[in-house]
Amino acid sequence: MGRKMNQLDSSSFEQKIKVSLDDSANTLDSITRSELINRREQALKARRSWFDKRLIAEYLIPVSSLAFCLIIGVFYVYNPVFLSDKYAEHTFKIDAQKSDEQVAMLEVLSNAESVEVELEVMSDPYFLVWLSDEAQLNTLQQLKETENGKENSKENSKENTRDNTLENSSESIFKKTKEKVIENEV
Amino acid sequence: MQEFLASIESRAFRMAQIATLNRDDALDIVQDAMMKLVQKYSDKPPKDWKPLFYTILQTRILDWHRRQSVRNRLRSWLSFADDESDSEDGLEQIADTPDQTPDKLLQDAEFSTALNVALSGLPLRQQQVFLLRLWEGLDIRDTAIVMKCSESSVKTHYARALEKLREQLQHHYI
Repeated sequence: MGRKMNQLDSSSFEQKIKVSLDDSANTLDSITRSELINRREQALKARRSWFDKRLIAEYLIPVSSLAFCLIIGVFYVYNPVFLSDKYAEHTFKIDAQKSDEQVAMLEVLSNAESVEVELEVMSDPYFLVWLSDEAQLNTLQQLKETENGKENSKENSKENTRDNTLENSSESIFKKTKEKVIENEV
Repeated sequence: MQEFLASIESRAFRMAQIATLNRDDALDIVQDAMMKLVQKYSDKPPKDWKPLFYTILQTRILDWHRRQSVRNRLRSWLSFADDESDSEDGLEQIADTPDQTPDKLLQDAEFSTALNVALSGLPLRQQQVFLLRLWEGLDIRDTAIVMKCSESSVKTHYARALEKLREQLQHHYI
């Protein structure tokens, strides 16, 4: 009987403590309450920012890196030939124009019977005009041919490399002869 | 999650305040516990939030006590005058209760004050077990999980805490 009374006392004592603690929690001052609300908001904001970081770290970075790798892979596997062909064709056209003019000039200069004859021919302004017209016509013809026959581009490019070596020498000879002609005319 | 935190924050604050006897530190501890719960365990089912939150809270309180003991040791070694020790009086740290009526204040103030002092005077483990069991209504198993101890230890801590409180509050209770 005494033990039962003790238990009742104990439970009522615990109940009183609980009520007192509840009261103290429910009657917090307004400053503390507002402070708690602020801190709760901060905690929930931290969750959002943490979630954003997690989203970036776990999804956006892997997906973007995968997409980048795929693009690189596509370019690597499917070699973009159109780019290289385009540039090759363009360079070939330029080289073809130059090389034809240079060859023509070399032929003229190298096949001259004598220096005097050569000088007479070279001093004639009509001849020079005709020569330049011829050269232009030749280059136009060459352009048409190159547009029609793309298959020969590789062979021609090889030839162009060979012709490039002659370019500098022919240009210098042409300049010298021009200077001589001008001197003679003067 | 917001509702859960709103429902629990006042009691968590009081628990931390009783343990630390410092309002600002108690607020910091509660905020840390909230942030940890939100960041790490928000994807858990809501029924697990309560024990998880109190586990975090008790860990934070324990950490605070460890830091304080280290600080106190350093102060004693360096022979600094501990001016703040006066402000750690339990009676002064009790929250203001401006919303209560004077009658209610008169009725409960004495017991409440004595209870706060008695609770603050309990060893930390006993205090935590007592508040979790009695106030938060956690069962022995959950309390043992939160406190990271055995169920028998929970029972022992609780019985000792109750006994000490009864001794200290018997005059006010009777």
